Amino acid sequence: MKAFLNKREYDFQDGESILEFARRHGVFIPSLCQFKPLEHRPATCRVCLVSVTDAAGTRMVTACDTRVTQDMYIDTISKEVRDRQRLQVELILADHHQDCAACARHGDCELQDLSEAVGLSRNRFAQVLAGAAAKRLCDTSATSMLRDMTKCIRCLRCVEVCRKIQGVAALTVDGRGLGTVIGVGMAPDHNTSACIQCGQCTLVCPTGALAERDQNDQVLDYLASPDVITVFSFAPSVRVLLGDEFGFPAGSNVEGKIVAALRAIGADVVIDTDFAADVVIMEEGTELLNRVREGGKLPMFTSCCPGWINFAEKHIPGILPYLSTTRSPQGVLGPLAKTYLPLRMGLDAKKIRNISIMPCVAKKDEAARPQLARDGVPDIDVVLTVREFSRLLRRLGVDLVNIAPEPFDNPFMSASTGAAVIFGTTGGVMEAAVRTVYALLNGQELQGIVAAPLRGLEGVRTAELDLGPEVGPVKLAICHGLRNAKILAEEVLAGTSPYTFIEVMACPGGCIDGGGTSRFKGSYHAAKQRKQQSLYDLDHNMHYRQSHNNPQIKLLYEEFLTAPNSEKAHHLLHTYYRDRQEWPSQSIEENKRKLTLVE
Amino acid sequence: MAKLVYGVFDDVPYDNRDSTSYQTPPEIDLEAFNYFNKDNPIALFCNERGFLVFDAEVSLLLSLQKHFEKVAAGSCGKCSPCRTGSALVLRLLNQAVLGKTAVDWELMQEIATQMVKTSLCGVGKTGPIPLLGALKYFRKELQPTPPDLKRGFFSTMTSPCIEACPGLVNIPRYIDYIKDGHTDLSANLVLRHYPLVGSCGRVCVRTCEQACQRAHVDAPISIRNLKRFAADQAIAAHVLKPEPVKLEHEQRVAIVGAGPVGIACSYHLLSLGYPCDIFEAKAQAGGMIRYGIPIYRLPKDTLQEEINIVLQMGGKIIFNQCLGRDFHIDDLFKQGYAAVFLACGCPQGSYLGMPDEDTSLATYENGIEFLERVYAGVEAKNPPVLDGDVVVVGGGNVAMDCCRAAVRIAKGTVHVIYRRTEADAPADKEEIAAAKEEGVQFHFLCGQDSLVVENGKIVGLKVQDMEQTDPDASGRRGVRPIANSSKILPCQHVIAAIGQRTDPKMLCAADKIEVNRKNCVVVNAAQETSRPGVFAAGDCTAGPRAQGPTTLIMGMGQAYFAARSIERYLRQGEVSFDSRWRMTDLINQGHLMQPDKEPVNLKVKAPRVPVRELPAADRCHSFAEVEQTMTPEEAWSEAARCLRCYRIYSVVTAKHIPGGE
Repeated sequence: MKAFLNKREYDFQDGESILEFARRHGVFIPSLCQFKPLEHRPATCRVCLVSVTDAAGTRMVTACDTRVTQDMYIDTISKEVRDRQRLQVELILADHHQDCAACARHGDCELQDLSEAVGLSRNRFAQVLAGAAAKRLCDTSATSMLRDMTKCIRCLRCVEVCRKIQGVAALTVDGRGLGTVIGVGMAPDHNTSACIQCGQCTLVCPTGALAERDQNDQVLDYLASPDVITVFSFAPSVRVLLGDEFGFPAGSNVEGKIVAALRAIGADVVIDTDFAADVVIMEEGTELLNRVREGGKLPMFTSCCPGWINFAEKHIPGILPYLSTTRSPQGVLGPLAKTYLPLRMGLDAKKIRNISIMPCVAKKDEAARPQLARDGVPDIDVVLTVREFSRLLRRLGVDLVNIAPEPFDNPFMSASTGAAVIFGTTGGVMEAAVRTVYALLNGQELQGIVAAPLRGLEGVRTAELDLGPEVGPVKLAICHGLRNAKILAEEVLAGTSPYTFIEVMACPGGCIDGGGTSRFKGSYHAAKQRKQQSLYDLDHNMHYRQSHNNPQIKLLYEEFLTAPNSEKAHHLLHTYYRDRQEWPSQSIEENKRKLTLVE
Repeated sequence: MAKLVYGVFDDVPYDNRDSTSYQTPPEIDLEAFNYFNKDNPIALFCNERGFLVFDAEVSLLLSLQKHFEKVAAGSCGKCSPCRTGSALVLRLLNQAVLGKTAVDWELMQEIATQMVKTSLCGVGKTGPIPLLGALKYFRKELQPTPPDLKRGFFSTMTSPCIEACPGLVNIPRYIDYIKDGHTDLSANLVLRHYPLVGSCGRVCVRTCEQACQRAHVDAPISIRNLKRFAADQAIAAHVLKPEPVKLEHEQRVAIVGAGPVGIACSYHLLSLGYPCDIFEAKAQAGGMIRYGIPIYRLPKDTLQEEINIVLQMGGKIIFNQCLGRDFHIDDLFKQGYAAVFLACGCPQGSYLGMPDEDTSLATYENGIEFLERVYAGVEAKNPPVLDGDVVVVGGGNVAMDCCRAAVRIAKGTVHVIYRRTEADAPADKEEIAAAKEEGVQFHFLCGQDSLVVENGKIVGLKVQDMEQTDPDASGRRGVRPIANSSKILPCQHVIAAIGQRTDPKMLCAADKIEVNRKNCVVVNAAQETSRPGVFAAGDCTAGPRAQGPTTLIMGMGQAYFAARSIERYLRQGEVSFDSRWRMTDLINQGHLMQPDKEPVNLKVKAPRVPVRELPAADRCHSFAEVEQTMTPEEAWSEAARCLRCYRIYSVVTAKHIPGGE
């Protein structure tokens, strides 16, 4: 089957769209709303215009949703095509709030790229409808995120990722005409909505309409204050992710450079969230053993991921008793850095401000949970996403490329293990837990540290593992992407789940593709294999591979917590959950007032 | 006949002002354009094909500006050229009307052309066409004029599916609400038309799907199932809650019949603040969709939940009160009701009328009786059992309901005979397919002759084969018996499913209400009967929209307009004109709604989401609901298939339109 693209003849496949056909043959057609990684093709931006000629004549069509047919002649570069593509971008800009200099996507914006691609040289309507854009909502109610509808171009990618990948479906399309925005259903605002603040939508938004809440100035205030002791920490995955922001090859380990950069910007103490991950394994592994031995709620779900916790609380609260009560690594690090650390280092605990650097948007929301504060003082003071932290470094003129790496040197909370570093990928928490649980049960290390069936990127992975004579074989499951988590959780509630322990990461791939990681225009989680492999390589090369063998962990328990799941450990390192499911309801008449229709 | 002064239609200019030969667009019946309402000539008309000026004095610019206000208001805001383009063009038009600044006509044409050539849906693709025609051929007529306060204007945004729906429900909009994640608003949009959303979402005959333009790409949108999804998500799940209405009016309305039409009419009157009492002949509400539609198609708790909306709003149902038996029309007025609405339906089934047929035979039933008996049995958890084989006579949906109900309770085989071909059978094709899956044996081109009775019991039905006659002048083919083809179909039960009629004792002469020869109440377009203050709709009526037994959606559509007529009667003492239905009449009379001219068949294909059903083996001995509700994922992807074939129709008239702008 053949068709013509700008005078040349090419083969096409049955049912193929013009856009796919052109891309396959290396012909560029500017586009905006369509998003190949999600097979998303709402055809709303109307930019991918081409002229087609067939037996029915010549006409303008959008390439994304028009099929190629036999002998069709497709023109992507005629003057009319170029003029119409350019006018379309001008029309998109007509109700887009163009404060580019102050935008979160400054210099990294798909709309700017598109403007260049269509040769935009004038912007006639920028001021004509500016009032309409300014009138739309900028919702700042959420703890983690901003929803700035003045910049939305209605590509609907966020709606798609929220439904298709996460199964959350918190986002809706509201209003009409120039007032059309992405809304949060029947909820009064973003924070109380069904949104779990995983931030996957921020990874696909082509503009600055969806972004994390930027808290860099709060960090700068701490750095500037003589009365504050800043304690910085960063998550396992961050060391293989921050390089993305500075042009390193995907998955490059820049751990030492981050430590050096933090010292360069004036951090008082630099510790490692990896250490806290090892604590989590000690607590969670012990908790699992207790549940198995004492007939507690099984399967037990991991609780490291705040997106998952929000999902469980807001969408499937029946599952909450099955969740481990152990806090996440960030949630464990916070109280230890405000109790154990000052005790050992002789610091004034009241002056400590914990700043954690995370691949995650929802971690900001986690830090704001009332359960993660003591006497009104939050355990974690500020969370920066990878994107924000790179912005901070640029603001302070730190050149990550050329800075010489430096090692951690804190003797209390910076030693790490291979088990901790793989927390950054899907399956890592499970694998780390298995190593320690096996050793706790059998008094010896698991042979063949790598539990192969647990590794990989399949959405749901399962394995059976013999935990030794006392417990015998157990079934384990790992899932990532909340749509998958929902399936496993529903199985549990239906009483048909065969598993003993289930790991859930809200973001597909786990933290390496968290909502706070770098945005890559037009792609979604493109380099996940390499990032995952980097973490596995780090694990492979670590001196200690199991959490219980971390010498600083041994010290922590000997000198401070006494034992995993001790009363003190429970007080500091465990948490509880609340049913936060909302059942919206409204009288028919009241709801009718929200109808926007023209008849 | 309306005289065309000038205009542009299908990109052809017409100007009869100075020309000697009078030219009009072909295939358009200008007779339809004489008057919009009584004594109110149409001065200008515009739609997706152009504009027609019938009054040289009308301001073209003002008319197009009004039309374009509708376009801009109708823009859904998703696609770029329509969202911002319509706002920019409207701004320019507003400037032009004021005439204070020089107008950039070229820019207006550039943006309007972009809208037409590149918009996603019908609003942007067709809304600017009248304007573009004027800019191209009659730019010098676009002169600023002061507002013309004496003229009337009416505009509607419609589509082929909306026009095909007897309720004129804004189908693309409720589909969009599903796609947008607002099942509450989707269901509520339908609730503006009738309360039985989930019921209609299960049993509607969906004329809308036959008009659906998506069929030119792959297959029509699954409109009915989407409506059901919205109802299940929002109404059955109690996201939307009915509340008592403030009944501010003293005038009370008597509704006769608590079937879907009576329920729908009282629902609208209650929401307008009029107290309503519903008189129901039976002991339960729902009429034919309770007793006539089997439970496997419509679970009765769904129906009851939706009837309860009316009760929660403040409506009252008085049971076991039958018009003609327990009371007459005069009694209602004597009791102080200010208006009466008749929705008595067609509660009686017809027999076959075969020579010497004995309707007292226990196993010779009509479809309505049979379905009522099955309903009562299933509700009492004691369904009747049919010993032996069953023959159902008929090819409509009642016959399908009878044979599918029979197959669930019969010990023998269930046959359907129908005298025409399968293609001619009026039953829903999916119902025929489902019946076949459940084991029903069909005999098409097979007519009934007589019952075979032995010892007072049916032992068979004598039938004969039919053949099609040659097509007549209109292309229709009749059927005639084939000589010597008689045979006996052995059976113990015969169910006549060929029609239904009103209760002959419903009305008496003293009621002073005109009926036709089939004893249906004669109504006009406003659903008025011959007696002032008495209105009627649904199966029991014969009027311009339907004659006798009709569909659920037609009945509820009539009830909506009847309620508006009743309101105006109570408020003004007379019924008035309804612009929206008049526009539909204009569209039909003028043959204006054409299938999409632009070939849409190059759209990337997306298959229609199939309805999930209980497997045939599980369902043929059970009255559990066969069709399952869509998952949200299925509903989103089905809703995304909608092409939104909106078009905007506007008229400017010589004088104000009653009830209009």
